[in-house]
Amino acid sequence: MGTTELFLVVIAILAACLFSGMRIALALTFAGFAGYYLISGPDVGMATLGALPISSASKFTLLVIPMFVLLGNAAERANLAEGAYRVLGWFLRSLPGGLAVATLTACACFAAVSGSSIATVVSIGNLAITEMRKAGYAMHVAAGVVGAAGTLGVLIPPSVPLVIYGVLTGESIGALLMAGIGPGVVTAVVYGISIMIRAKRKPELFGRGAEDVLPLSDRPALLSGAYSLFRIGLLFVIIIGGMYSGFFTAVEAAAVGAFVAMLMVIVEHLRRPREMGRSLWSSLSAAVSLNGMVFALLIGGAIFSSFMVAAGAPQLIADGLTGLPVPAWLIVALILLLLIPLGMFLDPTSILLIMVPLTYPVVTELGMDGIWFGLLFVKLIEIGLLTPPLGLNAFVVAGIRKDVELSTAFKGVLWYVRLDIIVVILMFVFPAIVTFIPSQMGLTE
Amino acid sequence: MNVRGFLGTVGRGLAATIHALSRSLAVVSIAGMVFIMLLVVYNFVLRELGKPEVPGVVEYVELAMALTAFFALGEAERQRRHVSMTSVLDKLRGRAYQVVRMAGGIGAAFVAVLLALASWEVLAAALDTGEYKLGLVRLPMWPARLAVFAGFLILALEQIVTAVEDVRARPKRDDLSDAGI
Repeated sequence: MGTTELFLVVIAILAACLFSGMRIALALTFAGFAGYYLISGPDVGMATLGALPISSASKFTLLVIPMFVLLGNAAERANLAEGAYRVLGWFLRSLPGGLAVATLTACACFAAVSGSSIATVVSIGNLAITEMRKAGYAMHVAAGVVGAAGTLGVLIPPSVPLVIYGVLTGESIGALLMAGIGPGVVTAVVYGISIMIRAKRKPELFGRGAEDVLPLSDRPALLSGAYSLFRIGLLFVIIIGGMYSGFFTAVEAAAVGAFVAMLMVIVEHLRRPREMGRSLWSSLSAAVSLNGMVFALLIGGAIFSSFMVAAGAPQLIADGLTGLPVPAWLIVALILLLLIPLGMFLDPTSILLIMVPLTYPVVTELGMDGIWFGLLFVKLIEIGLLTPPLGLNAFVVAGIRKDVELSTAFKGVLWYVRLDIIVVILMFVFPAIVTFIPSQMGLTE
Repeated sequence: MNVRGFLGTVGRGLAATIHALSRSLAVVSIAGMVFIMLLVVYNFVLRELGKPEVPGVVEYVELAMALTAFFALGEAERQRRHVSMTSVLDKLRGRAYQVVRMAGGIGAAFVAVLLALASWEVLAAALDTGEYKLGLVRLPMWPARLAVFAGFLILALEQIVTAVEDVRARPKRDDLSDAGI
């Protein structure tokens, strides 16, 4: 069997497994095993299944993943988001679409400490939609800003997809995390400006404004909100400041961040020991099941990509693409464009695990920066969180609110996809948006 | 009690036992995660205080990572966290859905059993040879190898439970028609 036929058979096996509803991690494992079986026989296939899982899941640098996941779950239960949202809503109330901008800012702040798009939506979504609806916002506008702003959790560090990209490619995880700040901030700014322009042009969608919706005249509410913002700032300084100053490695920042977030859960419930126990346990329990999912995907992805590499797929693709009589930037653009339809059917981690081992060698062979490509890659799969049929954030928004129809959530978040495409073009044309911070830190050339 | 009722009772009992096993392994996974967090923080504090770091942090963390990752596999399935692509499956109804979903479930369990079998051979070899991790401290590898085997085995069992639960929960085509759907 020729190499092309072999790949086609393996891809067909993978597709059949996926369509049958098999877990993606196991489908990737089986496709990889079948590939090894076809090229080298069952013994090599079984040896791969015996050796790769542990070597791909028990690396020291991978501890960043369970720690970031734990940090996100603990931050969610430390009640950081609500108070911060109230204070931001009060401060930004005079802007057009002030509550939507406050939601966006609160999501960006919370994303900077949780690293999870779902945790961000869950923590802020309910309160934010309630307040925006009270102020007369259209439901799709309220649901849309919550769902779209939640995606900032994927870009702004701590970001699990960026860590996985680093593990798959060997790029510095610290550099990738710091490189996520620029695109995260640019996305937030583009979203914010666009919301204000939209609020000016179509005020009927944004109700009567935020006046008197978030009363902060009483001192306890103000203090509680300020305390929440302080805690978010503290976590941000520990994680990002610690890495930026060189005080922590990325691994240490993740562990210390998770530790401090757990302490915050304890302090938050100090006077209610039973609730404290429940919150701590649910943080740990939720983190464990999420870790199980991520590590299963890492293992399946490692087996599948190991077969693809052994069979020479990256080289085949690289030879095919680099031989094309088109500029390198166009090849990279085409690779990135392919991610948008993939994002409609596969979750971000699966796309990373399947596509990065195939495309990263091509991009670096073309002389492109691996960190720049990684951020573009993650930004594009982040768009998949908003697009139907698999737009996870729309599902989460519809899931946390019974009064938000799924179609309304999609209508709301799809408005932001065009803004994301503008940000992708900006990142593509001005790589400094990505590379400036890590290069200032001496993490990249 | 008729045969069907008896099988149903046995099935529910088996599912409850498998779920309890997953939860028990998840407790070990949690312990591993907390151990990693505390060890890295403690090591960092020692370094900042100018004291010698804990010898073999990397080896301890890598061993605990295996426990954390693999003992979480079953719990992730119990909580339905493992992702799958359901766009095709969601369009099927009645018998077609049941056949495809069950085939997917059995296929998934088969793959997890393959992984468990392969890791059992590695575990047996580790026990036979007294394999240990190379590094600043000599740590035996068998706990990590055991975690891999146990994690995949419980994942296989949970896959079957999930598939059976999905097939039983999904209304048949006739029920849907009767309900006007």
